[in-house]
Amino acid sequence: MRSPLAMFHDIRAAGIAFGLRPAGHEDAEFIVALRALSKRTRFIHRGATTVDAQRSWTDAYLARPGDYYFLVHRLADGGREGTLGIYDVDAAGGTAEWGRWVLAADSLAAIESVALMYRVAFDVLHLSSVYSRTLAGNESVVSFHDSCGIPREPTMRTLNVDGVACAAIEHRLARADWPDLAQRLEPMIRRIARRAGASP
Amino acid sequence: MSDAAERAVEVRRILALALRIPADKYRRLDRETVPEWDSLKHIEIVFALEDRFGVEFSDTEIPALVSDEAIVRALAARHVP
Repeated sequence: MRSPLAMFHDIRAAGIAFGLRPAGHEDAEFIVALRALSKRTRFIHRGATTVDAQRSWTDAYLARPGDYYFLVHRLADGGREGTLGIYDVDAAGGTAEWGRWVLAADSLAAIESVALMYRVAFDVLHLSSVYSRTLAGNESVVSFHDSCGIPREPTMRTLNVDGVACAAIEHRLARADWPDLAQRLEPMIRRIARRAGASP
Repeated sequence: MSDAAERAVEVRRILALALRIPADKYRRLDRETVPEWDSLKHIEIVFALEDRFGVEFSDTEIPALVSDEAIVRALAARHVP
């Protein structure tokens, strides 16, 4: 069993059409371009805006415990689709936040990448719950979590985004609720995978 | 009502059902401006359209189905009656 506090950056997860692999220095150019093009990045920390800055961020990340940053990729050809992360792991509480979820505009990886993230959180890191904090203005991502049936925490959070205090909504999935969600997502994942070049 | 008009009405009905909104909540249904149109519902919409109209959209077509008008055009291009 892997300790959630361990600094392993070698976690991989393979789904049907898409997979998660550790993000590294070789992905810096892609990540900077992805964030620059995404319409959603106004709702997350500005992050590194140059390849060198992204590589420096990666250096710091690799030395940081409880932080797992993934590249979402196509299994068929390794093509990069986006990023997501599990971080701020609280080993004692068995919780972590997930986010840094940015996908290319034409990506079909949204549902499967999230399912893989939950699989890593619960089956590999053995967390008891995972939460996301989404700026209230990022309505379609708030709606995505709602559509998945992930419960909202009753109290609004305040996030500091590049020095600005912003209202945020927290959704939290408990390990016990993951099997039901996985079962609901699986038919969609399989049907999407056929279009994404996989053989489900 | 023409086939095209009927198809447009049916597309809006399917979208409203998938988005769980009243059919007349928005004058134009566009992913950019309808917050309920998230990534999960987008896929639900695509599959509902495929089941209703007997078509299958490709991986390059699916991301382009971003509004009621775009969907109606995509169906017309496939000669869906």
